[in-house]
Amino acid sequence: MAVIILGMVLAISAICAAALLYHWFSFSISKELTFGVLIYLFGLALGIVALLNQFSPFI
Amino acid sequence: MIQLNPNEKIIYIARVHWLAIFLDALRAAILGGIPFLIALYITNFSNSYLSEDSLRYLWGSAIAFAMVIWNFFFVAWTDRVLDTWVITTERVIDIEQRGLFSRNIAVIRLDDIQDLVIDTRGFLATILKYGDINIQSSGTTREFDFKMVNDPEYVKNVIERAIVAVGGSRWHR
Repeated sequence: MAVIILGMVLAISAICAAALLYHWFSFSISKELTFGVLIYLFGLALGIVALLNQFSPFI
Repeated sequence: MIQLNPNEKIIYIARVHWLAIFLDALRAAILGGIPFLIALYITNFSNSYLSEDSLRYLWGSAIAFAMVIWNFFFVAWTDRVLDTWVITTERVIDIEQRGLFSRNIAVIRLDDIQDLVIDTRGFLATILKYGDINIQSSGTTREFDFKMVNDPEYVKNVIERAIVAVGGSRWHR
């Protein structure tokens, strides 16, 4: 169960992160993206660490 | 991203007002916070005994839900940030981001603009300077509508000045 939850969250996160980074690199007129993308990646890393911490006994 | 014609210059890039993004963030925070409140209540105040494994699942599920909301919020944020009107010396380019992988770009030449309508409704919209702006064209292109744009009065003035600069005689006052 823990692996399924973790897998789903990581899959959604990977798609969103890839898309955001793609826009960040490609959309040259929008420098506003930089700050948001950094906050997003920070939150994502924090969430993954917290999730792994909670589910580590089941993996 | 946008191919400008020779001698064409970008005058202004209109974006959505920060309040729209703030409201999205508020909604996401409330939605993402609910499972944590439930988990906190069950952990601290519920009389029922839960094993350590169950508590780990409870908090893990709350974190997983918050992460999904976090991802969806940033998808919505990207949508908001990349929705722009690029006003150039020759045309207005409406870039409408739809989700992460879909984008609609419409162009209206300054000569074709028939009317510009701004709509600022309410106390907040007046003091925070946001509103809707609508361009009506003489052609059959799709309607140009920008909701909650930052400083619509200024955007309108920029477009009007650009039209006058390209020789839109009916716009002379």
